[in-house]
Amino acid sequence: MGKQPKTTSTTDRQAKIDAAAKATKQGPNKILIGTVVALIAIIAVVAGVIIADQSTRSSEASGGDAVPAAAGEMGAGFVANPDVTLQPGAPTLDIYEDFRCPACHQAYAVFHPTVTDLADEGSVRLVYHFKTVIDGNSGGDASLKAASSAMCAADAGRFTEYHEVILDGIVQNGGTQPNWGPDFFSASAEQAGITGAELEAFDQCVAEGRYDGYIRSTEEQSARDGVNGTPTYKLNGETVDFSTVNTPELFVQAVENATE
Amino acid sequence: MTETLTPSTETPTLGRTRILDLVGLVARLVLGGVLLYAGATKVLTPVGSARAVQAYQIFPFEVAQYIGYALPIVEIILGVLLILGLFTRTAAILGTVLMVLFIVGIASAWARGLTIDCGCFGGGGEVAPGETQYPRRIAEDVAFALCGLWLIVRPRSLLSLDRHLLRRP
Repeated sequence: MGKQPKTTSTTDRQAKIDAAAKATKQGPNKILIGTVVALIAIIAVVAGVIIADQSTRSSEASGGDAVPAAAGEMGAGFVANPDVTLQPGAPTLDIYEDFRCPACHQAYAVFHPTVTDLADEGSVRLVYHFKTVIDGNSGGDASLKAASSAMCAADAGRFTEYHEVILDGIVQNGGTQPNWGPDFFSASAEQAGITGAELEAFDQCVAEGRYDGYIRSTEEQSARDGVNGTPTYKLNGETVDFSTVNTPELFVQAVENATE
Repeated sequence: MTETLTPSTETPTLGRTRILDLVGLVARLVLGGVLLYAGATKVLTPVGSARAVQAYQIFPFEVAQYIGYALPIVEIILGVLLILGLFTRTAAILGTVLMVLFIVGIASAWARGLTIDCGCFGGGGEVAPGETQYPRRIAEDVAFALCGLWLIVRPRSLLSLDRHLLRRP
């Protein structure tokens, strides 16, 4: 005690006792716990990325890989009016659409009659690029299956009618979505005028997911081209700004402006 | 003498410490909670998460895809660590770095005239020009980054595993 400096107080001594107690009775090893937590974190991230990658790839392997005649190749858009003679300088109207996307239904309700007229009279080359944004954000595969089934309807020459039956139905039901099952697709095809042997072929096409690979390719290609949201309408590659072009009349005007 | 002084000198300090510890707890729960929520909304939809990152057009397409797969998991891990108060400072540093990167990404998208949803809590991709919410998203991320900054400077907080498991002060 005599050797201790005079300043040593009871609290200092208590602190030393505490420190000694801690040194001997450390409790859990911080380095060990830190290492374990870091390892778990690394494994979780790596495993999660691998699982995500594998599940995406395995779903990509399912279904068929047929290319619709009106598209020509994987990733290319589906031309809805291939048989119409285009007027000179008519622009290309690219519509990026997801069957499940509510905003697409709203845009459809406003612009579709005009779009149909423009396409029929050859004022635009109408090209659909089907996307599966909602599948990606909310899960499920109805965006994919609906778009794929529309390509089956195109095989029967009824794409436009089929597309209208489904989207008009949603718009008339105030945005309420159907169940997107095979029965719904089949009933819609029948309403669109596909009957008999053609309807059987349609059902078969839907069952085997013949165009699933093609729809994945348009989703992928449009994302690479920077289109990650739906609906996106482009006139000769220029995105139509719906905040200014918000009526059918203004849309016709935009088409005229894009006509060369 | 000391015994009469003890209450008058220590109680205010103790009270102040407890308040600062409480602020630490709130900072942990806010930053950790938002990271956990953000991760949870995206982790089961990796394709959507990948598309949200791709929409920023900052990284090459494939790189953005893998960032999109990994990000929700990283957010969940950091969120859980912060909520538990385990390795608070390390988790806060990483969480703050994430928030700063988000702010840079959003500001960059804004500056380049992209009209995208931030994809913070699911969603993502292009939206109408009036629906981008860039200022609001940046303001939120600044607030979360400040929570992180507090914890980097003063990781001590109430009800933390750092204290109760690792016996840190």
